[in-house]
Amino acid sequence: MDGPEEDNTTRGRVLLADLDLIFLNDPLIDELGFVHPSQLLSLHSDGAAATSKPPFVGRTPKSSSLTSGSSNPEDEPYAHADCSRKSEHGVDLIENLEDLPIDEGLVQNGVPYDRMAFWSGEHKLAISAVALAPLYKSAKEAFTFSSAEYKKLCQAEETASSAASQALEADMKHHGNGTVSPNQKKSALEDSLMSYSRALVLVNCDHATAWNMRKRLLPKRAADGDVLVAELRLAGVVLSCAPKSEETWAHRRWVICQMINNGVPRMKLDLILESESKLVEAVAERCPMNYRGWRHRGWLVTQMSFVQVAIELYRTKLWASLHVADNCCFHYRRTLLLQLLKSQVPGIVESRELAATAEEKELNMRVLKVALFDGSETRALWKEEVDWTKHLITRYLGREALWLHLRFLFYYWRLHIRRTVSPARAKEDPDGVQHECDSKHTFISMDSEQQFVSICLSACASNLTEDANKQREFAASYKLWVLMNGFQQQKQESRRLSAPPVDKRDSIRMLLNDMAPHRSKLWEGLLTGS
Amino acid sequence: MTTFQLEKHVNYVKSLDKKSDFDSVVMEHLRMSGAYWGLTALDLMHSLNDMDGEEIAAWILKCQHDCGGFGGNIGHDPHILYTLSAVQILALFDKLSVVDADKIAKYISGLQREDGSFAGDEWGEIDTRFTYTAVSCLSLLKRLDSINVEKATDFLVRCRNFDGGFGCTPGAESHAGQIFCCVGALAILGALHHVDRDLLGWWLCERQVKAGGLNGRPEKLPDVCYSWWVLSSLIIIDRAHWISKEKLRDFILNCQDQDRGGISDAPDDAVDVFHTFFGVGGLSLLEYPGLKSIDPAYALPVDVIDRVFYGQKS
Ligand SMILES: [Zn+2]
Repeated sequence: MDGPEEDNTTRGRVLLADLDLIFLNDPLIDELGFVHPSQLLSLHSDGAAATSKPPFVGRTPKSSSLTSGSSNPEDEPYAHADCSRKSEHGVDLIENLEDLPIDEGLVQNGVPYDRMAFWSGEHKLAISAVALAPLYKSAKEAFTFSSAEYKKLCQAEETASSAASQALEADMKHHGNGTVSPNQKKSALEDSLMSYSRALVLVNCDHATAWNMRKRLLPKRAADGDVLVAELRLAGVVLSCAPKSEETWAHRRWVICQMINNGVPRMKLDLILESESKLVEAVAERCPMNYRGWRHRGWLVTQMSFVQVAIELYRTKLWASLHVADNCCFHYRRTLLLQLLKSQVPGIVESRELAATAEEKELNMRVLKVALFDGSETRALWKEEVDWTKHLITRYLGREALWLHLRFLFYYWRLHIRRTVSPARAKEDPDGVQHECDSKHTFISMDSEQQFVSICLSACASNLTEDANKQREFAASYKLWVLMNGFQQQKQESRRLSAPPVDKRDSIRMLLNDMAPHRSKLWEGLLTGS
Repeated sequence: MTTFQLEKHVNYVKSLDKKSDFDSVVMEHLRMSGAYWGLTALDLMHSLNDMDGEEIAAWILKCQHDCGGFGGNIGHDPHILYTLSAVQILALFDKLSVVDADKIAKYISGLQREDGSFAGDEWGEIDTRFTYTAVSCLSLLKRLDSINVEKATDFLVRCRNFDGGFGCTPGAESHAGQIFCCVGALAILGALHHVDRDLLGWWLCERQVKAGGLNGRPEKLPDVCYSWWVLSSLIIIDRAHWISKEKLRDFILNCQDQDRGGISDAPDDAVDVFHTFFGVGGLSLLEYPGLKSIDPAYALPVDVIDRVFYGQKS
């Protein structure tokens, strides 16, 4: 009995063609959702009003009513998407729904696509969960067949001597239209492969082989930059549905590198980087602590101009203060801060392109004042970050990401910055011996930090909530951090923690075991070096 | 106390190959890694003999490309991740001789960049996972001399953060999975002196939440797979005695599907082969009775590693 099988194949082919039609009709589609058939029905009946509802913006696609209790899936570093894709498509549901008719919704007016499989409007696309399997199967078969054909054609081209193929081409031109030339066939195959690979990555975001095929074909089409811009848009569509897809993020980076290699003007690149950064922020809003997304943002910094880095630092402050548990964003600020410090190297300003307009010049100058610190500017920048972090710590109890940020600020100030931004003191100490600065110059010292810990501990002394428990633990461990980093010799290369001095050991041990007894083995190990 | 459902997990893993639901279909591109997870889990549970090594090796060879690299399945492009999985599976079955080690080594060494890092494939994405993959794979094939080991080490060191952890590239956020890759690679390269064990041990121990499970980064929920990434790293740097092993063991056991077998990321979630492997692997690192012991750097049973390097038959 291959009847139903046959039906499925035909249906898949139709769906594949419909998808082409939809993108042809609206090349600006920027969002995708997989929906329950009943959701699709309501999209068709509600029209545009439906776009503010699931599966679109303002929610994490994974928590749609389609999925069954998947809880905050982790992204896997070594092993791809296994965690994050789990139950994304709601397997049970699809099995139950397979009997539903799918080809009855075809309408003749408007764009004639299958209304039981797709909905498109407002630059958004919804695909019914029951259409995914036949669509994917057909796309895969067509992709496999066409890539094999394409490979054959390319190999034939390689083996034929270039002179011979040129002669053939000239011959074709001369004789005109009757036959299909290898070049025409090749270009038709390329068009098909672009279509099939698009369907594949829409349904299976981590189908690397499909993304790779696009990487192979795009340079042939990228003569005008719009092709690459469109490719970024497609990757955005996929990310709107699968925000953790590492293949998709990697594909974005590849596209941007292509643009840079093609000599995109600096001003345009700045705009692209800015919109990339905003994209990550929008994704982070829906999918917190998204390592692959923030990794992309961190990569952008390596391509950014110095001024843009400073602007990013300024811009992310508000977002971070509204997402105090998102360690990724605080790490991003660390990346930006360190990048600015690197830029202290003289010559960085000269190497920048001159700003075009007076307004830009003024903006640049303002940002430069913050960014291109001499000693006092660095000090001001660091102090501002420390004060702000401490403010957030006292306001939001028990947030690990905030305390970690403070650890970073203390560590870098003590070991990497303090001396370089105090040229006067460096002159006083030509042999590089470290001194505790005068308290009026020192906004972050061992004393100030131990004092801050005491304030935090007493502020929540009578608070018995879990957040307060955590606050006490983090405060106590920060004190240990200060003690173990503060007495270190300044040897950047061979950084090692050093045990706190003997006279401090008993009190900090008691504090740690009081505040975080469940980590007693860790504290003992750190304090005694065993 | 909950017990370990060995027989049910074995049956669960064996049943996976026959699945053809949609979720399995969209995972076909990483079947090579899926096979490595499932087969290694079976071996740890003393059940690898039930599988047909000849058939599996034949399939693996069909996934190899002319360049020497392996795809995640037949007809998929080669990638360094699947190349390691292929070599690992062959090592499990004592069939490393069926592949041309020099050809694979040539593929991998071709992916090393000037700065010592490794790309995952010809398209140039860089990640410390790929360094681990390269180092582990070449070591199993005894071809470490085909890459610039010094530069590879330098790159890993450049990915170290102020908190002692490592990220996917220089400056990227510390992540337990990336830490495993960097520490595992440094261990294989004999370069662990680059790690501040106390500092990194501190960060790793703070991954244990009060309930006993381990998370992969600050502010995240505990997840079974981090039992592997965190614990193996702690063992490699000799700091595993800083966490509560009993609580971790109980967390993993509570993530079993007691009826149908398999292990999930967190209690009461759906099971999958990935978390089943890392759950079993974590229990093996905890020396849970009835399981083979696993090597924390190679993520293969210790007897397999002994056979590869010392020619000892188990
Ligand atoms: Zn996991």
